Amino acid sequence: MNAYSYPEAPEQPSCILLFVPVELVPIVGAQFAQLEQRHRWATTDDWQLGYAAFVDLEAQLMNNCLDSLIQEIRDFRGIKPDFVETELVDRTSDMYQSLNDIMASMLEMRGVLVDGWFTDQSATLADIVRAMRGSNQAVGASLWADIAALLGSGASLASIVGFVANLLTSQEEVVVEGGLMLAQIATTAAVAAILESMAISQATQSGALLAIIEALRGSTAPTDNILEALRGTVDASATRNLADLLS
Amino acid sequence: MALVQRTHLVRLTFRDDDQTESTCEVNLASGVDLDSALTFLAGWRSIIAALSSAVCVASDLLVRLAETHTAGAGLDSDVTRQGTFIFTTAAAGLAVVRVPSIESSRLESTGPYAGIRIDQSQAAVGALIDALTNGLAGVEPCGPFVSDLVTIDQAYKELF
Repeated sequence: MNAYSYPEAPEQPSCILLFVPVELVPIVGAQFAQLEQRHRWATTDDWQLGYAAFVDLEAQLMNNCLDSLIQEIRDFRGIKPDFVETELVDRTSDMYQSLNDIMASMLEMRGVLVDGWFTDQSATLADIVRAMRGSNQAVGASLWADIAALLGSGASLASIVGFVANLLTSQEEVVVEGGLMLAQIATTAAVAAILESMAISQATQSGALLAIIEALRGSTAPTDNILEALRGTVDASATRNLADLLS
Repeated sequence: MALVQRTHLVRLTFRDDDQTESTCEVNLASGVDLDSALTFLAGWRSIIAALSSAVCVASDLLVRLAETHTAGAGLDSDVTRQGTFIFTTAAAGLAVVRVPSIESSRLESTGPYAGIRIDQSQAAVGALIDALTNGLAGVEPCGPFVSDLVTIDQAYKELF
C-alpha cells in the first residue's frame, strides 16, 4: 500500500460537489477514515494535512444534506401567509414565496400615489425626502420668494401666517407638498421681523422720554430745572404752593 | 470481573520499501515506572534499528489494563459499526474519537439522517462529549496534533 504525499493545492482552489446517497454515508465516512492513519501518509506533515482534510470530508457528509439545503432555501423565501399553519412536512414548494412574489412586494413598497406630486408615479425614498424639504420643484423657490417679499414690505405677523395658512389649505397640490416646512420657515422669519420692529420702536420711545425728562429737570438735575424755577429752592408744602400763591 | 494491570508493552513499528509495516514487541513488568520504561524504549529502538533494514516509523509504550473476565457481548454488537465523534479543536481543526459498536438506540430515529446521526440529546452521549471537551478527572484530552478538543461538530455512525 502506497503512502500518500499530500498534493499541492492549485493556485485558485476549487471543489467538486458530490451527491452521496444518505444511506451510504456510514460506509463512505469509514472509507475516508482510513486516511486518518499515519501509515497512509509519507511524512508527518503529509499526515497532518491529510488528517485534517479527510476528517473535514467526514464532517461534511453530515452537514450538506440536500433536504436541509432545500429547507434553508425555503426559509429564505418565506412561507406564504395562507400556509403558515401548514405542517412543515406537508408544505410544498408552491407554498413558499417565489422570487416574483418578493419582487412584487418590493414594487408595492415604492408607493404609487393618487395625488400630489407623485400622482400615478412610484415614489422613491429620495422623492419623499425631497418633498419634506419642500425644494424638489421650482415652486418651492417661488414660494419662498413670495414670503420674502411679504417680510420686506413690512407685512404683519398675522398677514404672513394667513398667507402660509392659505398655502396649506390650497387646492393646488403643487403648493401643498412640502408646505409644512415652508410654513415653519415663514413663521419663524415673520416672528423675527416683528421682534426687530418692536426693538426699533422701543428705542425711539426711550429717546423721546429722555428728552422730556431732561426738559423738565434740566441737564444737571436737581438744581437747574423748571420745577426749581417755579418753586424756588424751598420745598413745596400744604400752604406754600402755586395754587395758594395765585388765590 | 476486575480491571487489573498487565505488563507494559514496548512496540516498535518498522516499514519496508513496499510500505508494508511490521512490529517488534517486548514486555516490561507493570511495576516499572514510566520514566524508566521510556528510557528503555529509546535504547531498545536503537538496538533493533541496527539489526533491521526497514525503517522504524513509530515507537509506542503501552500501559495496559485488562478485565479478568468479560461478559458476553450483546447480539446487536458489531465493532465495525462505530460511533464517530468529530470535534473542533483549539487550533481551528478537527479531531475524531470513535466508539466501537455504537448502540443502535443512540442514533436518531427521525429526520434525513435517521439511523445515522448520533442523538446528542441523550445523557450518555452528552457525558462522552462533556468528558472530551471539558475533561475528566482533571485531564483534558487532545487531538492527534496536541490541540484541545473544544466542541462537538458532528457525531454519526460509520461502517468499517
